Amino acid sequence: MIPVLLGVLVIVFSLSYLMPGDPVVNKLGTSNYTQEQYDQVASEMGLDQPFLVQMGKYIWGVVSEGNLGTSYQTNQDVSKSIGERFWVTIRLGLLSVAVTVIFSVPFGILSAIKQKTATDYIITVFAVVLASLPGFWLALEGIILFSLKLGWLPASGLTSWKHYILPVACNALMALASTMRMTRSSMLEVIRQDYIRTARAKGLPERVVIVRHALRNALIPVITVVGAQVSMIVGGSVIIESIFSIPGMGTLMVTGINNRDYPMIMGVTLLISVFVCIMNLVVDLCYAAVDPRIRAQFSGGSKKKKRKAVAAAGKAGEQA
Amino acid sequence: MKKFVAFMLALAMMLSLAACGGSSSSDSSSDAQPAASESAEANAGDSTDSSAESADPDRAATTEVTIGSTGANFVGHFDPDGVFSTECGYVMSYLCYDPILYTDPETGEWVSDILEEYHWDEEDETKLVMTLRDDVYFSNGDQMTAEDLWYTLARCADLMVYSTLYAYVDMDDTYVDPDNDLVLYMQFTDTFGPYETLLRNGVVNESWIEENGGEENFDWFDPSLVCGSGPYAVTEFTNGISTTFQLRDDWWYKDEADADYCSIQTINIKQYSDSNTLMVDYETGTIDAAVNLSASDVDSINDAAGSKGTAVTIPSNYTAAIVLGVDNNSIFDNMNLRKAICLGTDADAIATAVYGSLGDPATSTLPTSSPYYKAGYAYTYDLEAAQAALADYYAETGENSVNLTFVAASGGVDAEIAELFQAYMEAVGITVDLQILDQGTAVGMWIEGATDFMINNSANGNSTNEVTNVYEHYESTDVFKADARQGEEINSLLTAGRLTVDTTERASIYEQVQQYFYDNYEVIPVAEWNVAYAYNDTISEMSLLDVTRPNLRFMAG
Repeated sequence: MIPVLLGVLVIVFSLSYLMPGDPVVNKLGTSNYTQEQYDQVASEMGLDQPFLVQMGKYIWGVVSEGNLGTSYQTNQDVSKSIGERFWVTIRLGLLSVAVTVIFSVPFGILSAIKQKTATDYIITVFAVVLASLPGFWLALEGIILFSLKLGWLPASGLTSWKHYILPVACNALMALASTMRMTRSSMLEVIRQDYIRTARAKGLPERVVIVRHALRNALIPVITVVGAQVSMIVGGSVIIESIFSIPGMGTLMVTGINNRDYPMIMGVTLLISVFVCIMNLVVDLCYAAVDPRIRAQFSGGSKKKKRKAVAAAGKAGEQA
Repeated sequence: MKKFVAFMLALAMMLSLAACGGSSSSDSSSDAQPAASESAEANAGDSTDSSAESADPDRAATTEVTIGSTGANFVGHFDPDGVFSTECGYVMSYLCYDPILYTDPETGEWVSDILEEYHWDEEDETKLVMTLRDDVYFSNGDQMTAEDLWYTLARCADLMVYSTLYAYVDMDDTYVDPDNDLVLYMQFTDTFGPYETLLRNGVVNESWIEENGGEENFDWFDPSLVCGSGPYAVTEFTNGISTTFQLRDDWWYKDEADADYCSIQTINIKQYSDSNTLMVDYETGTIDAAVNLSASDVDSINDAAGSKGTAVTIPSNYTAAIVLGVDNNSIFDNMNLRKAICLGTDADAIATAVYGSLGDPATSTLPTSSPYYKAGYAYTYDLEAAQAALADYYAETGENSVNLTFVAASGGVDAEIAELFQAYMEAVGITVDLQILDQGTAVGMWIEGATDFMINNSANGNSTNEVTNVYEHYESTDVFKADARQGEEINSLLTAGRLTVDTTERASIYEQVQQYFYDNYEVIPVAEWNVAYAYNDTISEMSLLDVTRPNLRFMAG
């Protein structure tokens, strides 16, 4: 994780530095200013130093003090700015994924076990339609229908449970299609396996066959997709946050990019990278939780060590 | 499996509860309001103890309104003199701080609540004498003195708000009267026409800043540290999203103010990223007023014949113009080429297409609302004359093609203007390589001079209607190479216009400037554009001069 984060820091810092545009000019605005004033601001922002010095100082500040720097544009501490918004984005992202899972997995299973029936076709068409819809369009249509026409839901902000419905629904619907399709194809593959046929031959109820024997084995690719979606939703939250005026990290990132606010860009990117790394770890743990074979690999390793230790102790006893 | 299902259900429930359990500590929630208010009052001193609960029934028919805007950085820090994010600086500044001077939206005149009077020194025309009223108090109970004025002006000069213009203020020789701590002598380096524009920032309390960390460490993002002499206190704040202001019961000017001046008890400000969401919230009554509207939004409100409230259109006091980089590319040394470009651009059609009902074709480089405007300095579209001028250019230079570059910023009307201009140039026979880039990238290229054209189009308009704010970009020192004119004649005119306080002389000079640009085919005036806002029946009256930096004191319930 640490090498990954260091890599992210170096790459993003370099790309930011190479971006056209001047953060000093963005801060000073387009009014006239003298070269001395420009130099003074550049010096205050540390931009008068060589690239490697700037990058080294930044990385050292992050590593040694956890200091993400100060925003060029607002002079506010970047960690404070992010802290105000981080959990908003994370909460929205996790809630969206939870809703996605709750709806997509059952429908994916249904589609698989009812393969080539009207139910399967309806679900498949629904998934394809959802996958084709751009997120911003879905959000705007949702606002027009549920806020403007029906007046059921608020269109902006995030201050009550009602405010969560539209943005979560938009995020979830966008992610629903791929998870549903993945669950379906994975289930189709599993339910053709011999052990499923064996389970049915044993006379087990169909519900038990599907839930206990098929689903568990089909979940691995689904977990991979869901894990990726959490990262995508959190990292790509800018559209939904902008449309629904949600105070999250997405809007912070966009403002930072427009203003060439390097510390803000770096801070947000770093936090998202940390989150993605943690999600990958969680996904790996979920593999072990649902698949005994993976769990066995790890526990098997420790058993081998135990056996070797016992054998060594036995030999030592014999020699004695 | 049962364990897994149970775990998933528990996770889903936990996330639902976490998500719906309310917002972060800085979010606007009704439960959080009293605490935030108390905190603000506690920090601002005893004198504001009852401000949040205060309500004067004589002054407030409507007690609470919510204003929304798509303006960038509409909600932000609480530094009235901050160089950054000035939009939010101004919105908040008008409510929490008293500017030295401000423009009355009804008369357009410069007025002051805090000054007893101000005048130029009789013996020294470069010295402005300002006398404070003796009853101006900050929210912590401190009396405002001329020392606070000095400190505020020094901050503005240091922070480089309107940096070029503040260079005309000599802070070393600006001083407080030793015998009267309510009088400030503001020293300019020269006579200075647009001096009022330097006096519209909110006055801060020097001793309060010193007590709370000093200039270096004062936290301008902490609403509890806001300590101005203005009518409102901040009670809730979510950076970049919303701010709530509460009318102070102990506002020093309260008894003198008209009934429709600062009469709303609670003002909520919301910033929107998306104009569609803003309009949905306006139409559903979530917000009572929307500022910075598009032409289609204004048309929609007007078409509804009052059922969607009142749409108000006001001049931006700015002319959008396409500027030829005459000193950035030697190709423009040829007058015939410049003439071909200016006559081959149908500015009227561009204005109509781009601005719709919010724009009018420009008739000069100055807007009609300017006191120095003169008509007749726009070009009449004549394709044949343009093609003939281009033929003359070819004949004079031996060239047979013209290729120019136009870098424009994306995401606004500038890109549309540039695209239409490119099409008109193609009809003339001139190839324009159009590069529409994001603002940050475009700015870098403008500074490098990597464009042959610029669009001069102030995003914030010109709320003070000060002519200097329209013409400042043409001076030789401008950072954008295509904008900057290096010619001695135009620069001396612009400098002379700035350095005189005689309005007759200024009128004469700025007429010559308009004539100069017209005669030399250097600038194509495109459109005078308007800005718009709307309010519903909750608000009986709302007068603004500016939609990106609105003074929300002029609202009545």
